[in-house]
Amino acid sequence: MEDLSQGPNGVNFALTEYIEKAVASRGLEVISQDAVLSFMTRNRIRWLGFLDTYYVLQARKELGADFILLGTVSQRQERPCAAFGMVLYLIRTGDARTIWSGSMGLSCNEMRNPLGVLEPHTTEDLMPIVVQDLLEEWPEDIGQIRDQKAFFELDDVDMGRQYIRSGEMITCRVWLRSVMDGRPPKVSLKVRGQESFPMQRKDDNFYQASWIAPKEEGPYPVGLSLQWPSGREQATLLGTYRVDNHSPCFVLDLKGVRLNGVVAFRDRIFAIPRFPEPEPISRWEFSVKDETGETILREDKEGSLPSRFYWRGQTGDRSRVADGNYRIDLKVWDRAGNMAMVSEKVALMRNPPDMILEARKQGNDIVLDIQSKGEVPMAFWYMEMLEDDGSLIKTAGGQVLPAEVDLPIPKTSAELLLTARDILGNKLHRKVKDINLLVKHGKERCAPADKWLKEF
Amino acid sequence: MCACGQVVEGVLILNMKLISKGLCVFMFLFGLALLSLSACGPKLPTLHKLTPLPQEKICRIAVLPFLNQTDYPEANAIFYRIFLAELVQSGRFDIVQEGDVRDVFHHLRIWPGHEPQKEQMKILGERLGVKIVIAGTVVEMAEVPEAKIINPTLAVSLKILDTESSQTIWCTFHRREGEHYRKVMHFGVVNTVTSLAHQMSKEILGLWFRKGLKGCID
Repeated sequence: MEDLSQGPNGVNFALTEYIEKAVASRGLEVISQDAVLSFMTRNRIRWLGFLDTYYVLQARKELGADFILLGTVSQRQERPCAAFGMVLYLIRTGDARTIWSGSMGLSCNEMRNPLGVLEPHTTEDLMPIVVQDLLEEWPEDIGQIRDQKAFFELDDVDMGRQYIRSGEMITCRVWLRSVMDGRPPKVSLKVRGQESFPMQRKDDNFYQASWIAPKEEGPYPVGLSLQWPSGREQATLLGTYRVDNHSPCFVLDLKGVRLNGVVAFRDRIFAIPRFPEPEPISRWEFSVKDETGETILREDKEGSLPSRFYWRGQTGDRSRVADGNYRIDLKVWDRAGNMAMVSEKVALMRNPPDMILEARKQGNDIVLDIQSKGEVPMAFWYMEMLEDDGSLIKTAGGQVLPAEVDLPIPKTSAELLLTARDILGNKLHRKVKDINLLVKHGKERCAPADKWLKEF
Repeated sequence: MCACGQVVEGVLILNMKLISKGLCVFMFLFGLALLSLSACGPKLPTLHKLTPLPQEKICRIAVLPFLNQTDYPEANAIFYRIFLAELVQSGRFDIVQEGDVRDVFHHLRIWPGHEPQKEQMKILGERLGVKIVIAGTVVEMAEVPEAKIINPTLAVSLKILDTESSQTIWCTFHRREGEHYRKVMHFGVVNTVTSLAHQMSKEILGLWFRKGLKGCID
């Protein structure tokens, strides 16, 4: 008897023995537990609570059993109040049909007696009550044994690959088990109900057939046919394989800023594969190549495609790569092994904006020219002019460069603070300690890296 | 909402008139009122008919392994076995052996916790010789301790599927607690998940049979 209260492989020998005795007391001959265990071991039956038709018929053949009683303990608990539940099935081995069943649960709460006399307190007390109550419904007439019908069973099927390309070899393996005595049947496969491939007997019950996948794409149902010398036939559907010669169709959607036909990024770039006609993917490979064509990052995996990829401008060993142009390649394979690849060029730009400041005197003012030399457009720029004591003289800002700003000539020295950010997010902060020095030199280019501070 | 409220009210008014006639009569009517009240408790499972049942008689039926969406260990196996026992007891169908269903699941590489896909369902139907199958999910199974007793709770969702088209023909949801079956005092209360599963299986199958699910075995 199976005992689910002990987990999926639980067994309850005490209950088995009790039921054996209870059934024997009804005048039935019960096959010994040793013989049953030996039968289970011989047939490698590793589970309890259910059987398939083959083993039911096999029990009839090997043990001479007319009926099989299967049982499952559905619950067995002691606290807070003992409770016990079980299910019984009676199977007639003649036709492998379940002819009777019963289930019952009982708690000690349902067994209260006046003054508490002879009340059950444990599952051991409840178990006999449940078994007796269930067996009281045992069918009076458990029926005549019907003729055993001719029978074969598929022990296992290996259809090989279900998705295949034209010209590839398909191999189908079938393991049969039979309780019929006599000559083995002729085994063949029928594809699309027309083409027939005889299966070669490789072992006692192991049959195999191989054939070349046809040119025409589409589904091909495979049926198994058995023909006995007596002329009797049996057929069943094994499965379907599909011929597919088309590569998956997809595009790689890059999330970044498009500059001069290339998608540029500073921190990370997202690549989202989009399929106009979605189909399952069995394998993928994501790689990044530099301008010389050398692969600097590669990742591949069996299984479905991630919904998106991102690259942080690093190599496979996580070291940062230099600014420049790179190529992102994504290869995908469908279930039949058809490959498709999409390649996209990207530009990594981490440098801060390259800016030129020019100042000249014009009457009582200083005119400051701010220019951008980089290719990346500005998101914004902002400027402050401060006196020695920190008081604000003037502010200016905008989104477009070049720009001209009129500044008053300071009485003493004046500090100039410039902040800018390009549309990729690269930032710069520039500090000119005295704007008069800028006027004297006329021009300053904001290029040296040690003067500029990058912000991440 | 429910006609039982009116019945109780009527019985209570009647009780007021009868008190003077004797305590026994009062107790009888009071019990009757409580019994009427208890009848409001258990409700029928919900049933959604999505497509008509096959025209021809259904002789053979397979029950696919149920899914477990609860934390209760083996909840799906427990309800499966009890539901199957109730289906056998109805005596209307030739029920496919659980082992045969599992064999086909194994051949088709349908892993535990997964349902067959459309094509697999067709093969399953042909291999087992069934036009319809029953699939199900145990949504809730719990034993809530209340003082010295346990109140079992069970919720299941069952579907009748056409193996040829994989379409859902009927779907049913049913949720009950042991307390819902209380009649008078502690009488009627269901104390175990086994009994509750047994009771609910009877209610689901009873509804299905009333709504037109017919077998061919008399």
